[in-house]
Amino acid sequence: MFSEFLSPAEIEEIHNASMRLLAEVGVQFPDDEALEVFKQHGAKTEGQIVYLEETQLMEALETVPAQFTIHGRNPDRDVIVGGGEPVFAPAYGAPFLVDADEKHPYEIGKRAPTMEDYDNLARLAHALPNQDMSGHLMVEPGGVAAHSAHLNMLYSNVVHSDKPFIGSAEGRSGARHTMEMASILFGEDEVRERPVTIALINSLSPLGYSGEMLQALMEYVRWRQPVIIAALAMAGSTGPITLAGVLAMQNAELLAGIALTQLASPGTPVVFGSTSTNVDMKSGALAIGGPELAQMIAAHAQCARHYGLPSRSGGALTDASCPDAQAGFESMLGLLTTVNCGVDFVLHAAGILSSYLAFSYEKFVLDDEMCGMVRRFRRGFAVTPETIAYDVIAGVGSGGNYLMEMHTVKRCRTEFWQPDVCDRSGLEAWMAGGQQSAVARARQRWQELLEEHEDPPLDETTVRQLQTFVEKHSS
Amino acid sequence: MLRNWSEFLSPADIKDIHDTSMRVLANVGVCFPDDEAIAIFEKHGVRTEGHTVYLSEGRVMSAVETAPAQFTIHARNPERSVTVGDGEPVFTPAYGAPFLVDPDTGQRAPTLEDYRNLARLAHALPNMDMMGYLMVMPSDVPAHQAYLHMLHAGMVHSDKPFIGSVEGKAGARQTMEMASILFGEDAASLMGERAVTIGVISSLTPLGYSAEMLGALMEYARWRQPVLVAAAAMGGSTAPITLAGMLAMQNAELLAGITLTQLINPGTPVIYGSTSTNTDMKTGALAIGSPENSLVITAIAQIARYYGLPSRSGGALTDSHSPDARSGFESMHNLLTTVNSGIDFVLHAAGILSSFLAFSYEKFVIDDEMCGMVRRYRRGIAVAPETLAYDVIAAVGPGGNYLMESHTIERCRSEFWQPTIGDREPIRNWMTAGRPDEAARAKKRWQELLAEHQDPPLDKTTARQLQALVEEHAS
Repeated sequence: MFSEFLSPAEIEEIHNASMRLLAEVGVQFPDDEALEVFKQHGAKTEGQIVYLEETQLMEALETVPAQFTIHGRNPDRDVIVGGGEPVFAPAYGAPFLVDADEKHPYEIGKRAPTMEDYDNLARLAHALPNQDMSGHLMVEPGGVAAHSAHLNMLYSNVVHSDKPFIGSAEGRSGARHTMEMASILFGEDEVRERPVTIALINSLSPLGYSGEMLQALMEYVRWRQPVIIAALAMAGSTGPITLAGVLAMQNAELLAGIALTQLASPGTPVVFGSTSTNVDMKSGALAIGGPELAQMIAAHAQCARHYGLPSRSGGALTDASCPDAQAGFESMLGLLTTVNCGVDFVLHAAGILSSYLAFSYEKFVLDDEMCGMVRRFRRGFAVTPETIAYDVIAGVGSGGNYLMEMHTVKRCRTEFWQPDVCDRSGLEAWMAGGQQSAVARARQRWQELLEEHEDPPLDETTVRQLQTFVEKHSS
Repeated sequence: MLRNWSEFLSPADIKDIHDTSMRVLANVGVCFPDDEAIAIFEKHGVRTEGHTVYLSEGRVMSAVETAPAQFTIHARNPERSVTVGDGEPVFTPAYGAPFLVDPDTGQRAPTLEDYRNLARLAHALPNMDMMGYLMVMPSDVPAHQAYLHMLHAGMVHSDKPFIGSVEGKAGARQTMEMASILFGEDAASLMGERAVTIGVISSLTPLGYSAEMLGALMEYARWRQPVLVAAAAMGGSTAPITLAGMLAMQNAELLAGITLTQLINPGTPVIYGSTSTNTDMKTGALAIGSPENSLVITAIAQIARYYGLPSRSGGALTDSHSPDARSGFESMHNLLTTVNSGIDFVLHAAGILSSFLAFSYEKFVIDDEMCGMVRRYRRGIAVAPETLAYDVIAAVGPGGNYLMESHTIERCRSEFWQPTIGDREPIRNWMTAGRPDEAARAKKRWQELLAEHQDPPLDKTTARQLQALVEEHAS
């Protein structure tokens, strides 16, 4: 069961407002191919604005799959989206790194990420037990040409991990390169048959899309590969200041984008996404660690269920610029809400700082621990005669102890969740050990993981072909 | 508003737990090592054998029925009175920590001056609904007198309602005598008329109570003052390793204690409480930052609702020894779950570290902010024509901006939650400011609050009488 705020009547009101917007105000699609698809299916257009009637929209939504599988090069790593378990994927799109300094583990600075960082993060995404996918654009690597960086990143993800990878949304060529590299990895026939990646297509609030995103979308749809169509509206700026208004507005633009995918290629998997939130009125910056975003996560998930669509939202989100207490509690507000509300796909499940602007190795590790914790919480616990254990309770009686009972001994290794990073030794041990902070432990942990990492096997021919492809398209 | 609670137990699960507890009560019994308590049970026809009490389901359920679903704890300032069980959680400070942790020295022993500071802070912090008790154990006053100084500090530095002493019958009686002075009433008129405090009675798991706690329980019940009856079981040690078994077992002892209050004085307000959790099987230590702890919180809320009783559990709980990232995410996991589950009364809502062993000034401030955040989150999203704002969305249209709309301007100061100490600055500003972290900001904040603090007015006679009582008993 999921945490819910909106009543059925309230969802209906939001829906009705969105339908009115689609019919009367329209959504902007600055791409000829997209406009043509709408026209062919009888949608009214005026220049680049597309208008949809409720019946047209709802009919288009009927072909969206409720669930789909993204295949990895290792079938054990396949992920199911919309199957009832959230998919966790690393943070996406951060221009900066914030890292702990060598000499002062809690002294933190900001620097530009390199391709070596990206490779490290790809290795860590592979090693971290709760990340289900290898990310894309975890940081924006400097030192490689901007127009071809996506090729280097795709290569890195594919080679350092056999988890399914996220694709590039850099226009038509980014999408095409992703599919061509995927074809080298899987064979083109396979890629045409089954989802092997997923790409993040952002809308452009209010009520529109960019040409570049539409090109990428249309290319993925041609290959019938899944796309997440997501809004990042800023309440008070690119959306109404009231959250109900943001929901009404963004649902219109998102549903129009989803309709496009289905009209172009019915049955293409799509995910209904949102990370919309408020602008902090004092700093003028996006506020992603506040209660408003948590409310939006909940509301968006409810809207997704209303339309029968898989959802994307949330993650371990914070406005803090270093992995301190604020980063911890804001990220947990976001992440726990995300899983409590039944979100299906979770980008930014680990690693983000500073309102999406920075990635942190230490936070990557700490957030992954959090992912394990919330997963365990959501599993609940069993109430059966064996777990109720009346005979054991009666046997131990008043004032007794359970430590040496068979019932306890049999279960003591498996019953409880064990942290990988966090230390549970006592106050005295912590004092004696130099009062180590969580960040220091996280730093130790990612260094261990990188040392232990081995690239999962990939045949040399494939590797060479991928390298050749990258070189060819980088010049 | 949240429309549903986080719940993992089915009605059948709860029934199984209840039935097991009834079996335990009837066949295994609960230990009450106090002759007066035994006499009371016997007077009401309850079977006893030595100090073991055996209760029938009928006896327990009629006791449960006489306990109120909701009650008010009155403060000397009526505006500060709190209602327990009305659907809004009551937040109170951490309780019972033997140590302090501060950023300079790490672990240290608290003094009476610390206690007074914490009382001043409990008054100043906007989300603390009550004055705590035993926030820390002051080490520089004789142990048997500390309770007088703590009660005094709570009454003098704040006009929020206060928690009472449970140091046996004498502690409870002294609490009521001081309350009589504070409220300017004689003892007789207070007794049975108004609730002015609450005693936190811990059971002695498994299946018992200490004589000291029973003394306090019975005295408060005589005064018809609320009693919070709480279990602190360690799964695998003082309780079955399985959560279901732990819940079933402790349910028996809690209901037995609650029954005693109702036999003494039917209608005495009670709260059904627990901070039970798992033992970490590697270290043998309590694990309050665990996902299992959060699951117990949800179960306590459900079980209390089953009996129609207000519940107590949860708080900002962590095993971390400093207010770092881990303390943030563990505390938020527990606090958010507490609020999502519908827990009525929240001890440890702010300040605790080290699995209950330490209090932190910085964490007190940080957690209070978290309390404000989760309160705000719970309020949800308003859906109405003004918030859907169709006309505003239509007017701004595709590609427009909302910043200068009067709809935005009218609301920009009031629409969103604002942090007091949380950082939302863009990363460059954070760098220029010297990369401050949350703990550093929290320290600055409590220093400000203490500097600004003024004791709420208390008439001189009352103040003198309270002083005299403390001096009389502290000699």
